[in-house]
Amino acid sequence: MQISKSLKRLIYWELGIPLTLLTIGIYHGLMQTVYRAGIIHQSSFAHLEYYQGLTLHGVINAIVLTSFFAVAFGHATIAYYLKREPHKWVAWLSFWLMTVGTVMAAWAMLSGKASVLYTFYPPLKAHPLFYLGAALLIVGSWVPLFSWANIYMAWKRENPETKTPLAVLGTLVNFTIWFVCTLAVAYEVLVLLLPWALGWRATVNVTLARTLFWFFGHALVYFWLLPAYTMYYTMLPKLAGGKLFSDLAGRISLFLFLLLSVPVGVHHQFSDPSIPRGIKMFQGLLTFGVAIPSFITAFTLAASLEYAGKKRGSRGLLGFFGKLPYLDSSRYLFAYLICGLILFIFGGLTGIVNASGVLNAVVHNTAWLPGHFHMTVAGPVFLSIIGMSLFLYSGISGKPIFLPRVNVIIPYLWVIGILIFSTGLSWGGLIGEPRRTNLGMTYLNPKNELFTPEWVPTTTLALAGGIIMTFAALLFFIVFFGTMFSKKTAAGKLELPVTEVLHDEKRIPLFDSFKPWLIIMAIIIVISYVPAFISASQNPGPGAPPFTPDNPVPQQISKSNPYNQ
Amino acid sequence: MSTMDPSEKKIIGITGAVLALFIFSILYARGRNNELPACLPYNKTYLEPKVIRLDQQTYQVYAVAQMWQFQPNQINIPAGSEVDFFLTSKDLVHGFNIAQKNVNMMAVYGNINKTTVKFEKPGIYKITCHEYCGVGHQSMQAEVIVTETPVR
Amino acid sequence: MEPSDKNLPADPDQAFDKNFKPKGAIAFFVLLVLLGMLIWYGIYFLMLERI
Repeated sequence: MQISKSLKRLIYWELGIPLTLLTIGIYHGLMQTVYRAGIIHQSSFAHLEYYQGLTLHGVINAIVLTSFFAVAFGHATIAYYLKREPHKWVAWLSFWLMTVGTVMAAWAMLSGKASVLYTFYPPLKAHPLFYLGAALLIVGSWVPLFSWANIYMAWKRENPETKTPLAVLGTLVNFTIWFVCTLAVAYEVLVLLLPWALGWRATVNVTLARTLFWFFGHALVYFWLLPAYTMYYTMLPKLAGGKLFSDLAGRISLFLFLLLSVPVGVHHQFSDPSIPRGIKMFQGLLTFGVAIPSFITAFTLAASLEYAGKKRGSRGLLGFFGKLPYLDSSRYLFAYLICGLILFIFGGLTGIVNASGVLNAVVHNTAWLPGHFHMTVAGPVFLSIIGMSLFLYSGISGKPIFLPRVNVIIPYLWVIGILIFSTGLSWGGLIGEPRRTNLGMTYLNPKNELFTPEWVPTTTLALAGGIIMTFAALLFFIVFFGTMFSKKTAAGKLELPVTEVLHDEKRIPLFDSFKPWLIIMAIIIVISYVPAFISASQNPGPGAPPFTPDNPVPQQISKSNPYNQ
Repeated sequence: MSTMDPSEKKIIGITGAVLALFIFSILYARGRNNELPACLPYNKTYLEPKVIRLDQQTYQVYAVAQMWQFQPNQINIPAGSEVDFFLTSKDLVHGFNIAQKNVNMMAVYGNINKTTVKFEKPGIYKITCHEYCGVGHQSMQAEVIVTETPVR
Repeated sequence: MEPSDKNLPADPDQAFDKNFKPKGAIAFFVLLVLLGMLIWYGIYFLMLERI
């Protein structure tokens, strides 16, 4: 499909900015493993402090990269399938809001005024521009949904009997989830935190802030995952040389995500005070529910790959795995996607452990957690983002892939790195190694009284994995920027692989309309979260004054504060 | 859902069965010393760190987390004791993790958290802060020292 | 989707499609579930040990 110069430029910027920032994000990822293995015993290195680096790592990799990509990929899927480009001024407004927000937050983080980690839990206080920047980034990412919804509704009027293309459904479901969940964090940031950070309010209810954050925080991971799922359902089978086993399975999965992505956030607060056990257990149960669409997807994709493998003459029950185009450099997107799936096996399964009530006590806030989420957000999410960014850029610009044979092995190197890395972290977590901690200063410093030798092998494994991952990322940057600086060899166009469907069930109105699902989604969210918000508002005692990371004395001491000495 | 392939339906059935098994296993393991932290109303008496000995084998610890230490920092308990930990924070959100027991709680300003543990085996049990709480976070560790003979 | 006419000679692609049964995928799925149970019960028994 030919697209306008404006849309081309928009997509270039929306892919290019986060991928450039990713170099900083990856650097800090590597540095974490170096500090934590006790290679250095310092609070900072090269003028960047550990926790500052950790904040940059989380915000750039998990918020900036993912949001910009989701928007760009959303534009691409809507334009490609509905044959209409997003409204120009809406798309550019979104871009500028997101970019200005990112610059503000980046400034705050790089100048050391926002070393609060990407969860920014109060009463740890960041510079007001960090909060404002984050808010702009998020609001900016809402904006395109309105254009896409408008285009979609016009398309539906013209095509009342045609099934909504699965990729379009994926984009719209994803951004609906995003819009709903970000309302809570926008409220937290703009109403609770920003006035408090500016000194206009003396205290903040920490539990309420956390509850609002996690209303957003779990759905956030589906916002990350659903673009990858869209690629799995609509592109992977074609790339493998086969067909999608069931289109309906994809639709059911997407609508189940719509229902269950949000009302499960309290499973991140199992260890929190002031939230009754009943609410924790109920949301834990719903979390088991949200595992179901992923299991449906695992089977449907396996069946689709089996079709592809058998078509190429595979024999035996699992022989189809051996007949897939793993190292075909002309279909490198297959490699990026399949490697994400390999990691997601372990990432998803460990996630179920995390959601399982008292089992959470074994793993919460230990190194097991980053072990888990590097097999999810740094697995299928990251690989699909970088693979598709390369694919979109190359197609739209008409430039060939730079070093294609290197490109196709990058995902496999990444998988090896992550598996080693996450093994180290998971093992460490099970023997008490904490996350979010500069271990090198104390726990991994042989001269320190807190030295914990049990964590030496675990952090060493993580370091080894981290080095391999960094090398893979470096190769990716070479390929991507090399492609960017290559000469154009073809006409630029927007193309996406489109999979045929084996069981192309006829249109079922229930699975082709939003209204009933939105209503059920709202009902479940109300049942699930109203009690949680009431508890978070009523059970806690006094609110907290602001603190900066370096000072146990709060910034403002109000006279009614019982903690006053 | 009559147009869905039968194997997809089988898959949903298997998934549901396994998840139900997990739920059953969780419920089966519930016990007094094996629950998610309890939800307690706020009370400022918990801001005073202390160890209270109710009897020879029953203790209460009012644990207070702050930047960057736990108070009390060393807790002496005879083996076989059951301990209620009450936890709050004087400032930032801190973690409270006794890895060798299933103690894993967040210390939050203005909130009281509670869990109950039984220390059967003697030894040194580390309490580690696992939530980033500023520049001294990596030094924040306390101990529960469980001794063979009763502490006088 | 064109209605299938059983009276036409089956073309090999259509026959392949019609006869395709995802047995391997079911096997893969069962293995996936078993791996999941292995990991889950591993942590479960660790939790029980620590009570």
